[in-house]
Amino acid sequence: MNVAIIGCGQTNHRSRRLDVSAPELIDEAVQLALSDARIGPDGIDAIVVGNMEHFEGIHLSDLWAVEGTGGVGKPQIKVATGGTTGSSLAQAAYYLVASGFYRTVMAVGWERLSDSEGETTTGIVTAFDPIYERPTLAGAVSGLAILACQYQAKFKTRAEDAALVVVQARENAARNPHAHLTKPVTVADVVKSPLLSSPIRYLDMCPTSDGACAVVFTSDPGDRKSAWARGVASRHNHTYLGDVAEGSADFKHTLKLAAAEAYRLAGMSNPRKEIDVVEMYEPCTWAALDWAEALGLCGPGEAAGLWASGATRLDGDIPVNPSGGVLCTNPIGATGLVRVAEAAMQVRGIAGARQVDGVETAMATGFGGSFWNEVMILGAKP
Amino acid sequence: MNPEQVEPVAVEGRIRIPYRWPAGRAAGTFLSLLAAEGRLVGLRCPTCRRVAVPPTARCNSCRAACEEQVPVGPGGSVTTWTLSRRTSPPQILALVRLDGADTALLHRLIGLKPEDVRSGMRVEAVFEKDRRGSILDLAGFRPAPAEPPSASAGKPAGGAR
Amino acid sequence: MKPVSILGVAQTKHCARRDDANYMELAFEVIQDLFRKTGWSHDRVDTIISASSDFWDGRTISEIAIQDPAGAPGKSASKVSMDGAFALIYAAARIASGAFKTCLVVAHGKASEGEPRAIANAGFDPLFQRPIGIDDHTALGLQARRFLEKRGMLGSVLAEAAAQSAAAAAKNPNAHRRAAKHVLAADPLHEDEIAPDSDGACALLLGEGGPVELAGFGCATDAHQLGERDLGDPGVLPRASLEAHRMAGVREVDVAEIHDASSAQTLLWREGLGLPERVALNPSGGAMGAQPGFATGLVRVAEVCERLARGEGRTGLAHGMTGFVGQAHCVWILRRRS
Repeated sequence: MNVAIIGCGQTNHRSRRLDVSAPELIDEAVQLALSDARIGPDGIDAIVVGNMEHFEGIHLSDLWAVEGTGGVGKPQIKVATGGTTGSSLAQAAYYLVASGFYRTVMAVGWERLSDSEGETTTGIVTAFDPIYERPTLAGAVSGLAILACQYQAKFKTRAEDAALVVVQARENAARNPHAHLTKPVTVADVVKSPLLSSPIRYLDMCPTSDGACAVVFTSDPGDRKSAWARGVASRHNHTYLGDVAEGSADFKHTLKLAAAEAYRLAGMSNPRKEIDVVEMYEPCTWAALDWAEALGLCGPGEAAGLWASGATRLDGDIPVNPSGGVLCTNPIGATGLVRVAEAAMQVRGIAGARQVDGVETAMATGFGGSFWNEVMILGAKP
Repeated sequence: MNPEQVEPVAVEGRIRIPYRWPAGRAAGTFLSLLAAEGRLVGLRCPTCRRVAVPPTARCNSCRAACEEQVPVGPGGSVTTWTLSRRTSPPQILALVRLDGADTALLHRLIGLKPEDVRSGMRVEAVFEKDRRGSILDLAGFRPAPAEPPSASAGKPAGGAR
Repeated sequence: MKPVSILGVAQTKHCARRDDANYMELAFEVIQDLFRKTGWSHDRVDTIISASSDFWDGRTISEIAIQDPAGAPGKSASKVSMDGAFALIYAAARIASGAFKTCLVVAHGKASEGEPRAIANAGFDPLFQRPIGIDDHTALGLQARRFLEKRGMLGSVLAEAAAQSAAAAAKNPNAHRRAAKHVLAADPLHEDEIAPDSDGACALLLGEGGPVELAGFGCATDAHQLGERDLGDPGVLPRASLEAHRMAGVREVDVAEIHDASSAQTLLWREGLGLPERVALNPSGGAMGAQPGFATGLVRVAEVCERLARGEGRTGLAHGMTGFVGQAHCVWILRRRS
């Protein structure tokens, strides 16, 4: 069964939202999605919901969240997969509709990283094996730093090349009312910012945000503006970090595999030409370079040149993250779903000041866990 | 040692993360009034007229936004109770339907022995002197003289459907 | 729905404490057992859905540990952070969508690695309920009392139901609790009237052409605040049950396995599911014999599947839940293919 996205809602993501409870934050996004989809709460047949429990210290957080999702009396399923939580929600909603089990499903993701402010890293460290890895690892940054070192060593990429990614991201974020970090930065600002884990500096890394996102999937969109799911794929990875980049594989291995499968499902052979806009889950600048290559937007070692050429800008031939991306906004359980929502808005032509002209096809990616990846390709036609 | 016969080894750990949960609009108002004035309020749904305590910003039954504050309590009735034996002495936990509310509040019963608790009994709120914006500003509920405040006293919520 | 059937099931022997294996190894053990029973191997599995809890596992993104034992590298996988019975909905959807032909479903619970009552307390909202010191057992006590009083029943019915479960569990080699002390735990519930905390895992293979098919399911969520529900009623369970029966086109089943976290729930959920007396309920002993966290509901599905495959009935019902005193219910109807 063909599946379309007909409604998207997201909060204005901020470093802290002390004025609302978790259910109230969720409610903001849900109401916007319902209104965008032009349906009432009764039009939702089931809900998939998710966040990461350790970031708020709330076990079974989905069951308190019903006050915001509108899940009382309805089927509600919780999917939570780390950084990919949001994209996994989108994929779960897709399969639940594609199966014919439900006609209309709403995916809802949120995170309130300010609830554990300053301790988000403590929450992430617990993802690693408690016997072998946890005692020596330092959260999300260290794993990405290994990726960045590997990339830098292979292609002799300079810190200034990576910095350009966040410079462009902030320019785009300034056009997006939902974005969290919108202040312009320069390459000089980035390379002078504090070193977190070599070669990753403070401004190379995504922030922590409070925010929620809701997206409505349906098999029966009627005359609503729709973004149709044309390629949905995910590829997973090993348990231990030491196995993730073993043999011929590298840190982008699963993204290459997932993208290849999504392109096959969407019937694409030349993604650089056939995709009009990319909403990439880039947790740091270096990852954006590495993963643009994994997606086939350019050849190995060419990503720095791709950014420098202006091709990834809003008016370039392959715009990346018109929303400002994860580098500007990161409410973790919502982050991957925001990619899907932004891609859908581009296809539906309602992205406002960040709209790319003439979008027919958009791609959203999600990254998380032990370097696993998810891809969703959306199109204006089924 | 014989590697075939090692005893199971356990590595101990503890996840220590401090959290801070914003109460938001509905609960924030409830807790502020509780702390500042020692009074209890619910929120009434404009559609189904249900008064929820604890208050929710949106009605779980009909999804309407709830803004009308309604004074509830301080008297109420026990709808069910149990004894928590994890603490010493054991604590009596109960669902208390406050007068004027359509749902019940989870809290503690104080000033009575377990053998004297009955479902349907009348209780009244006891407030802490030093209050800081927490549900524990309410010390609990103690027995109150029997009086018939309304016909629905002691009946539990009908569920949100 | 496109027919989805169960190609095989496996479960560990459940017990109060497995010090010899961590949860990753429990998952490995049950998946290897599933492959041994079915003659399958990882290379025939298209996709994987796991069910686990980050709090119970003391590990955020708890399914990272499941990747290797499940053979996930290079494949599509996902995790439902609810009981395995709910994960089964997602797994079946992946097949019914036509995107995958086979799916491995795996769920585990390892209560002995953490502090179950403290973890349960963290599952209540942090503003109103958690500070009061409530946990899963005291919530069960509130429910049991309301149930008894609403129906004018005596506490002895709870003891009788517990004794029946214990007798059934005694015949189940995978259950571990056959008896417990009859001392008050969460009044009016006694220790032996509350389901145990268990270590264990369960795995299923879904695909086409197996002996037992998934005929229908229903699921529904209730309000979170305990005081918003009448705990003496089965809540949203009848809604989930009706939906499952309607989808399956089945009016009455031959056997049922339910997740009963207390002996009051054995009685209350039976009522909510509308099961007549002639239907065998929890021949395995149910959750009262073993309650391995998020595997509990999936074990119910496995038990019903094995009975139907052996010819003990043609249709069966399996029930799982997540949250406290039945906030979320999931009901499956299984049918033996003729």
